[in-house]
Amino acid sequence: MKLQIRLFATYRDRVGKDTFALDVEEGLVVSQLAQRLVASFPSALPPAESLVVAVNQEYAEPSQTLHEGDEIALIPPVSGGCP
Amino acid sequence: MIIMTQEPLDPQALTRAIQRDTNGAVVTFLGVTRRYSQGKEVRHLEYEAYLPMAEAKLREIVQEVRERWRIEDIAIAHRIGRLSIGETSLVVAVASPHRQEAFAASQYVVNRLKQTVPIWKKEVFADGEVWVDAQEEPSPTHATVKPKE
Repeated sequence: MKLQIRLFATYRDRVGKDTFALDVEEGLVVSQLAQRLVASFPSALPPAESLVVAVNQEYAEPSQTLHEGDEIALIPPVSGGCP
Repeated sequence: MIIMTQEPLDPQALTRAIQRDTNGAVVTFLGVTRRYSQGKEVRHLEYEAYLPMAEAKLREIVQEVRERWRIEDIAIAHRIGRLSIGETSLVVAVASPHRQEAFAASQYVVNRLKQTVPIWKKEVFADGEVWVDAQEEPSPTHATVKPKE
């Protein structure tokens, strides 16, 4: 099944892309996807356990199952508002 | 009212927009870009957002405020894109009949926003740039030495 991966801020700068499609097997869960992405881009992403993942614009649990067409965003530590 | 925009923010317009004659207190918070960060001079800042999710998270915060303080009159505006020093990146305007709730709610919004909303700030210095990790920034009680103005 196809997933859309979106990157922002540090992750986008380090990986060099702001979005890409990924083909994965049915039934994949968020933690497995995180491990796979971290393995693909080891110097760009934190350890998989620390990676914050949003699925369809909601923060996702590691055990959450992914579905065809899901929009995945890798969320670096946020810094909105003001210091 | 939730606004994410690249245009300069207008705190007065936002404050006026939420004011009703049942409110005796209006609290307006401005987040403003600072000249110095960790002892270095900032040339400019860039804010980036995962827009649909940022708006959704801001709506959630508004709902949290509504449930906790029964405040309906609230506006949050965050600017994205490139900002010069001294520009306003965030406006939070909250109105309530009495001041306690307005103070508490506006502080809650600012703190909550910094935890959950997918917005990122990049500081650009003369010698480089860095995406700020707000969780790693020194706390205000451990101020770094700033050059004299």
